Amino acid sequence: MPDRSRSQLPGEVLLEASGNGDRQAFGELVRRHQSWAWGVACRFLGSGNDAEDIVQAAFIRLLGASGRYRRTARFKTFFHVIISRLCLDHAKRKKTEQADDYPELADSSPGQEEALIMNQNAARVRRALDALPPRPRMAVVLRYYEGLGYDEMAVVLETSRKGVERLLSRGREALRDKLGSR
Amino acid sequence: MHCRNCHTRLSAYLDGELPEREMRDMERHLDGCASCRERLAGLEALDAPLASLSIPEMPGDLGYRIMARASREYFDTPKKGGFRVIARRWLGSTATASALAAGLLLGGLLGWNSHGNPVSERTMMQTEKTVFASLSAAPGGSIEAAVLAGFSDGGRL
Repeated sequence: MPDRSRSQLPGEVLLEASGNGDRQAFGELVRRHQSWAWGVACRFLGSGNDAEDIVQAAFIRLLGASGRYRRTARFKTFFHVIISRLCLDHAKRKKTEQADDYPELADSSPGQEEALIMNQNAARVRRALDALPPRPRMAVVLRYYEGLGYDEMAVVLETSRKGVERLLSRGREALRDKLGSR
Repeated sequence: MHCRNCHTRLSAYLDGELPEREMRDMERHLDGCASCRERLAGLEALDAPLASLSIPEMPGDLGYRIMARASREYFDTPKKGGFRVIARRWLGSTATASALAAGLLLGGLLGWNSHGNPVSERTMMQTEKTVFASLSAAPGGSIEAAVLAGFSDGGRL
């Protein structure tokens, strides 16, 4: 398969080719999707080190599951299921680190004061997300950062539309209590 | 609609994910209920802080590391399944199992032949010869390897 054509192929076709031993097809999948996989894992876990382990594991599991993949499911939904499960399993095993990636700034000169506020806000959001139970937290990540609809979220979170509704409602109410002024 | 029912559906209302009729019911309730409107505004106000969440920069060599791991754990690893792999794994588990397999193979040949089986004496001798030749060629080698060689060369059985 020529390199140029791979870059134009849909993920579904690339995944099947990867499963048949086509390294370049898998390389194209990695190139295309590593960034958003990193985003999902980081936003859920809050730690770059943990996110790296999960993203690597997700791609390897994707490859291992390629034989079971059927084109009836969208590639991205399929990959969302994999990475979400890995994140949720990880959360069960380990309490997420608390905002270690957002150190406080010591100096507060005018330019840095703004940065300090931004930093503190980001740390506050991080702590609020970390305080959520894993499934409502994943629901928030999938809705706010991935823009998934309820039907797709139901597939990824292995629940019903009603289940998604409850998870998101629970997540949002808890976040509002921690972050909102109202 | 009661406020309690409205609260449980506010999140889905905000996302426009309720059926049309329920959306209209919610709108009617919200028009007349300041408390629920305030609650809805509280949920809407989450957009800004959540959008401000930053994430650590992705390591530049992440893709390379994924590919290296994929080579190690998938592309360069023999695939599971297949008779020879299973046979090798099973037979290779213990020396006893290997000896048992050799005994079964030879015993089976002899027994089969003694009941008037169409397997000719020549074929049987060829297979035995293959097994013993393998053992002779590599005296330190395992019975397992010899049996597998017998399976390959004696496939005419």
